[in-house]
Amino acid sequence: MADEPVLPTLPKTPFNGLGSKRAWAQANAPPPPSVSTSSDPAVFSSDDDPALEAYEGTRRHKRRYVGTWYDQHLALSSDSAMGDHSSSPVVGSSPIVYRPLRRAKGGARPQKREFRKLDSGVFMGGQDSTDTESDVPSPYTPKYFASPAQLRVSPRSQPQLSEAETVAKEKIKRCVENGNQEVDLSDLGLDSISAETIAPIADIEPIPLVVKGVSFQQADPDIKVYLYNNNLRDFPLSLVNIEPLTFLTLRNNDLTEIPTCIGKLKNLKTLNLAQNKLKYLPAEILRLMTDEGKLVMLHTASNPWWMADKLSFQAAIERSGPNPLIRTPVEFLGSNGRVYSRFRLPLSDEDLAESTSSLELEVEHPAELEVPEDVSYREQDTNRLFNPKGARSLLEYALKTLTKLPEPELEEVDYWLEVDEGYPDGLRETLSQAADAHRTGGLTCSVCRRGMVVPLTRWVEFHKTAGTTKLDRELLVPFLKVGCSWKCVPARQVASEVKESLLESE
Amino acid sequence: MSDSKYITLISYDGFEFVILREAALISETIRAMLRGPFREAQTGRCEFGEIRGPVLEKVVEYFHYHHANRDQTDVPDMDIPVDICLELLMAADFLGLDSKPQMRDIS
Repeated sequence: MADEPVLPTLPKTPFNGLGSKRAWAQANAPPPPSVSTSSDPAVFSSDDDPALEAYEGTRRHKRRYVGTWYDQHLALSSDSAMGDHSSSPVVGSSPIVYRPLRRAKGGARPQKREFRKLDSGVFMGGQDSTDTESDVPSPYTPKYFASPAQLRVSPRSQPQLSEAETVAKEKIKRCVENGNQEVDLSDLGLDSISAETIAPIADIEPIPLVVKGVSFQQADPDIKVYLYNNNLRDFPLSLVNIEPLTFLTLRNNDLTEIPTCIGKLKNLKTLNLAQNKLKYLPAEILRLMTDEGKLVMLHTASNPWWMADKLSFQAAIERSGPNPLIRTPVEFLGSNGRVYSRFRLPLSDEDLAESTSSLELEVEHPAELEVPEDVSYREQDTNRLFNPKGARSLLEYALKTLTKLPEPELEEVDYWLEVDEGYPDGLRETLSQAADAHRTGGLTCSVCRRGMVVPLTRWVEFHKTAGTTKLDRELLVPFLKVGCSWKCVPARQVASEVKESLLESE
Repeated sequence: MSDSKYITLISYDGFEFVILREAALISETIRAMLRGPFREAQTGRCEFGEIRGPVLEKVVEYFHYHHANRDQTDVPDMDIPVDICLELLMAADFLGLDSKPQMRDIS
């Protein structure tokens, strides 16, 4: 049996989980006092006896007791044996009585020296010791200059799932298990839905139909998500990560804005946004309707569209031929968010109230720009306003870096901009707008398709989305378009391309 | 009036940067300093009491970046370190280094 192979000896590494746990525990344990050489716990602590509270006092008090308690007891008994009764009046009532050193002066001297030879091996630490200070966690100091790697992310409490969301989660789980591609989350009363809940939808794989005589074919995933009759206030951003999504209905929710990242849903064929609180749609949806996407059905009825009830489209329509492209004039901004054009795009309600009467719509011809179209890029131009391919402004670069910060850091920056009065007005607003845009998928120039941080031009175009040739106010939906330079403005050519593609999709 | 091709920018902690006058003129503030009836216009030395050395260094880098790329297309983006980002944002605002039209552009 000598040649029988022997099992190799087990490696000496500890069990993985335990090992890491131990390592964790060690890393998190308070550092041992640098002076101490013993790991034994202190035998002699003020918790043992209330009479020792004096130990916490001044240095003088501390010196009243020397050595360990049992040494003290020894000393006491020997003292009492010597007949020194005056030093301990309570000796009969308590089994352990500590002998105050001061009283032991005189005759006890040689004994004290004896105690000193007996080293208990316990270091008590003086009151001037600095050990305790290192144990106290330093107070949190905001460090918005810290690099992301150094960032101490505050542990966020797990958000409590609402009842409706738990139901939704259960439903999604069942769909994933059964390979059911129609995820029905309607009528659940959801007011928000987290990314975690939605993410598993992307894992749904269809169960291919196996029929005898037909060769096996892997079916393409064709996911449909029904979220109608809920109370969603924000578009669930993680929906855009479900690439095979072809059908999405968000009918009868409380959405106020559709994020630009919806442009990632290249397979989307039907999108129902009816009965929401939308004011305008991003230009990305228009792009999905062209050859970049597959969107053919877009339902937009019953939304409080921007200006829809205040504008007279009739005049604009009459001025032009059939199938005109109607849009507002272009708003020109600086990268610090200031508006430089006479025209201000009234996107918020307050703006709207002020300038409803003065808004004149442009119809299918390039805007009469305040900046002449033929301004060429000149040497020493301070910015790239007129050169969409050129270098950007330093402000934009700084904004770009800031908007890419992780969320807690960004909040800190936001906080500082608010608190510190040294920061110029508007900068905070610009930053929070840029950060919002970054969060919801980033801005892309509607003309030259470059990514950007802050829009330098903005305008609203009205497009038909329903399949009818009659131009009606109800059927015109405003789309917000943004440009990355002052040269990126609507041109006849671009407009007609979009229009043609729209007509095709009908 | 100093007619030197170069000007000196000085940060509040004493760092001096000698750069091309032409490159620095993209800053509205510096242009005003150099063209007005100020001491800076005579000496060609601009002191910035609010800008730290590392931040001013990045600003100077931007001046040269912008100057080198002034007629280029498809310019690569400039990298901004995160730790001086907020200060740089302030400096850019102060020096007028955001996209905004100049009077001669519009006229």
